[in-house]
Amino acid sequence: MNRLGFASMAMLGLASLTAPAPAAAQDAGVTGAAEAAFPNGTAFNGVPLKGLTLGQGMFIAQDGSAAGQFQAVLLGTSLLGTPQNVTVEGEVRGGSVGADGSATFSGTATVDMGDGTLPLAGVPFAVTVSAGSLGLILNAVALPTATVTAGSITIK
Amino acid sequence: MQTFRRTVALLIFPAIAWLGAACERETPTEAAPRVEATVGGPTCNVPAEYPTIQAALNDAGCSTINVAAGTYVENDTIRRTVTLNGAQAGVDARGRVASEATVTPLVVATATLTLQTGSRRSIIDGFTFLGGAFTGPSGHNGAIESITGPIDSLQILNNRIRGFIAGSAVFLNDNGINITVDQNDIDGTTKLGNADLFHLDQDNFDGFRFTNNRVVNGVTGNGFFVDGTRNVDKSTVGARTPQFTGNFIDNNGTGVNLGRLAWGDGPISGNTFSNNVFDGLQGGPKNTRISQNSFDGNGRSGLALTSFGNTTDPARGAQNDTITQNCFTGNGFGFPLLGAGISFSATQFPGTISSNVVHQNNIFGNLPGARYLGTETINAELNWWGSSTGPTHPSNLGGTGDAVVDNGPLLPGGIDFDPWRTSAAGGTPCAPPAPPSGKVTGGGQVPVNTNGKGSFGFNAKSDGGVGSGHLNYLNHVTGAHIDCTVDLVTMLTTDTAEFSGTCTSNSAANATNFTAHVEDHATPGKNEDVFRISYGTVVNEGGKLISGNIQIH
Repeated sequence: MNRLGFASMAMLGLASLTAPAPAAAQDAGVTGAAEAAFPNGTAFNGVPLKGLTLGQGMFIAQDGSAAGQFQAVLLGTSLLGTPQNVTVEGEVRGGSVGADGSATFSGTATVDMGDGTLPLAGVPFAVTVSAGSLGLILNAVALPTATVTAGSITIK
Repeated sequence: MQTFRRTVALLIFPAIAWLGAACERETPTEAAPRVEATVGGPTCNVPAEYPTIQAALNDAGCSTINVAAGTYVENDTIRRTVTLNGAQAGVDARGRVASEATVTPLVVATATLTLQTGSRRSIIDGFTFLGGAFTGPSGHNGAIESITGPIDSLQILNNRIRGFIAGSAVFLNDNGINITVDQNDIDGTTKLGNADLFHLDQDNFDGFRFTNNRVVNGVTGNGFFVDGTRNVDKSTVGARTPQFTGNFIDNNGTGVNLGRLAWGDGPISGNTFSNNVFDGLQGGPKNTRISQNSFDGNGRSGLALTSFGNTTDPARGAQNDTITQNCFTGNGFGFPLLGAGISFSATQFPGTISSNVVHQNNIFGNLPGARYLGTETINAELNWWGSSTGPTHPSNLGGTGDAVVDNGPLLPGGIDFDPWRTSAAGGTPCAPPAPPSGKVTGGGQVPVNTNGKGSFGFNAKSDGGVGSGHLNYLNHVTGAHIDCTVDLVTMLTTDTAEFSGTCTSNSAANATNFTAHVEDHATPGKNEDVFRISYGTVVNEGGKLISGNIQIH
């Protein structure tokens, strides 16, 4: 067990719960290029986070499979007070689009903590996005919902 | 006997004509019945009334001669105005399979049909001219040949000319304005030697129209040749605008050679110049609109604008031409260091080659797309070079389209290709090949400005050439943000895709459309994959990924 405390089995269970069959006959698409802000007090693995940038693009099929990319940089601060950005590069494997216009997708990612340690591969993640917000579960750690402050997220 | 025949004809013809007209009135929706005249004309029949074509030609009363299907071994001469109809008169010769009136030369080295003074306004329609070895003193005699003129308003229509082993199919060597050559099929498969399949000499051919002909397989010479001093234009009083339109010029040595300064004032449009060993079309036309042609697979250049090396005569060479809405594809591979889709001579009189303009053409898949090694500036803006990134050129970093070869940017002059089209030009005879069906997705960051970052996310799909998808992009330095719909996927290979569409944006971006070029080289894509985007006034922003990935599925 590494310091991120992998919980792959739990994430797989989460993914299966969040993969209902969409009603749309054709692939849905989720894209985005944005900046978003976390609520105060947000932290990941002890790193305080103020926000993130994201770039994402994928197709989600009606059978719950998906293919695409999720990339995020979590903007944090180290214990020394210097910037520490956590980079998440994920390959999307499953997803769905909800009736409320939100989308949920999941897969595995490579996570670079930005502290000089080697990036960790195979980290499960799940994301729920709407036009104005993003919720990220990374390695079974659910971060508070981030609010989009610049750019946009598109679900169609 | 001939006098008697003419007398009978004079009595009978009006009655037949009246009967024909009466029939036409009773059945107005049907074509007028063909007048079958008797011996002496004005309509004469071969061989029913005259055993040979020449026999009918010798009868001045025969203004129209109908030649039935069959083989005629003779050398004929026209010395007066006559309409000479073969069995397929009025029927397009291209690809025709039918019962033919086939004329084969009795003396194989003499023209099958010779035109002499008096033959102006004659019509030769619907024959097959087969065989011959037309080896006159110049080595350029033809199956149809003029030896004295004028031959004004001559019409050569719907004829098949083939099977000759030397000389030309048609060799016109005398003045003749307003000549029409239409819907003929000229095949030089059996020809040896360097004669041209269709040859116009240096006489006055103002108002000449060469339309809808098939000129093929003259691999040892030119498919079409003319040389002279603007001897094919409209400068003669009464001359029409010349035309070279709708022809198929394929598999010749050079497709068409328009000489140093022969052609002017008339369009060259709707032709196909393909698979010729050297150039598809070469020479020095003037005041000519070259449009909607297909230049494909020619060994050297598709179109070579040239004075053939003359730098001292301002009248020579290509000048004041507009080249637009053509397709240049697959040219130059036979002569990689010499040819191009379109080439501009560096050895014309100063100021002439740069008077030509090249706009709204599709130029892709050539080696290279364009070539000019002179010091003038050629206006070749707003062409499609096969990529939204523009042509490959040292001054266009990131350009992946057909190469432009010139002396720029180190030396003055060259080919001005900027701005270029980011999608194929419309109204051309071709479109770029439809991209295969497939998908591309991506998300990540790229470098922008200086030490800045831009985030992107997109999905794009090509389904039978129909593009769809979405793209979001945010420049974190300038704040420029675009939210775009993918309308068109212009290229999709195993590692490269290009797509474009319409956008909404914030004021920092001020863009209504975008084009993106992406490359998938590795997973993850950091330092490997490429994302470049153009929007508003921003061109080719981005580069290799800082993080993230691009995947072509």
